[in-house]
Amino acid sequence: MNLVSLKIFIVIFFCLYGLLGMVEPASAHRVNVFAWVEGDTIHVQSKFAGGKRVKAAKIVVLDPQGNELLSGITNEQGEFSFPIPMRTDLKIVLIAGQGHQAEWTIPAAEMKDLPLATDATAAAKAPAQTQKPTQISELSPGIKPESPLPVVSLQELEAAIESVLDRKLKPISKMLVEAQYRGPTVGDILAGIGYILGLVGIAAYVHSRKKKE
Amino acid sequence: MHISEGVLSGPVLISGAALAAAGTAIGLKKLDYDHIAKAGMLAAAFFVASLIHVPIGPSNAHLILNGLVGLLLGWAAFPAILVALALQGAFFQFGGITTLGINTIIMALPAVLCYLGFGRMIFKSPQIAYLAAFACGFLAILTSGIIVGLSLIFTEENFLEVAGLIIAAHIPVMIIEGVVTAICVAFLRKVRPEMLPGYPG
Repeated sequence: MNLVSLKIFIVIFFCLYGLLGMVEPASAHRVNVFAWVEGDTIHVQSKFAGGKRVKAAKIVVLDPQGNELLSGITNEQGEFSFPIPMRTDLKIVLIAGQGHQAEWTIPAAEMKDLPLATDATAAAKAPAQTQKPTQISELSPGIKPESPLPVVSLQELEAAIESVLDRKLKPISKMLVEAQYRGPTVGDILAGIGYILGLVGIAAYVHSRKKKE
Repeated sequence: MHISEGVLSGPVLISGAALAAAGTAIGLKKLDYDHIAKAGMLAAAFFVASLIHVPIGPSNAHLILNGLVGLLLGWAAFPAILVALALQGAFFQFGGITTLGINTIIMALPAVLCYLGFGRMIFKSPQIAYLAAFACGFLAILTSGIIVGLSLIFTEENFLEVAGLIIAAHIPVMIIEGVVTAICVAFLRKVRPEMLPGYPG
């Protein structure tokens, strides 16, 4: 009798295992949202676990007090962009409907000090300013300025560096976004089944103790 | 058909958790020594079933198998589904900790209802048995969809629309689950009839 049930269990187990092999593990269950700052714009990307994009889903942007600052709808690529409404911690909530929801927080520190300055003006200012020190050093060759000359203001330098960094880091942030959408692996599945077998063992043990008593 | 964290309000979550706890207590009380292994097997099947996708139409839904779990386990479907959902939450990030109760209700309540409704028909004539098994698989998902709609009533405020959307998206899965449940019942009637509810022997 026990042998029969063992055989049935083994058959079922391998059937399930075979199905897992055929069907790639993916799920329409979990939604992910990820947002990053680029200049004075915030880009939001959303996906279901498994990589399907969340089209036409509602995005709501909240301030730390929970007030709605703005809202929008994701496009065909599951993306949504908006200008920074105010310099504060922003909570971005994706509402995919039917009880699916995810959120992402952007701390105020990730936003620029000057949200009004656009990328274009910052980029235009930056090269003009950085040329000045080289001109000076040409005028006085061999003499290294002992103290840094206050030609480029700290703010402008920061703005320039930030805009370049934003551009350079964009592919990396995108890669990080992709890395977030990890579907369940075979290891996860086997671990879950292992837990269930362990619980069955515990239940059987508890019952056997009760029987003895 | 899992509800994510942060969607539902506190009272809905708490009442869901309370109902799930009550169901699990009844299930554990009814789960005797002989059925522990069966409950474990079906919990494992339920745990894995949501990874098997059915690519039909624009949406791709996945198997749920709560009708089958309910039919074979009765009230013990509550602890089995609770365990499976907790593990799905831990390993796949489906659902979440706070929504575990309401998600258990969504899956396990229809399972138990199907058991109560159709459990007695499994050892009638084959036609009735297969029809009952199909109805089990089909109606369990339908009922789950309705419960999702009901639990979202306080947030999305449009019960008919939400429930309708969910049910429409799951119609292919309902049919497939009905067929799968009927096949399982037909197989078990021949091979291991004592696994089915209402075994006369």
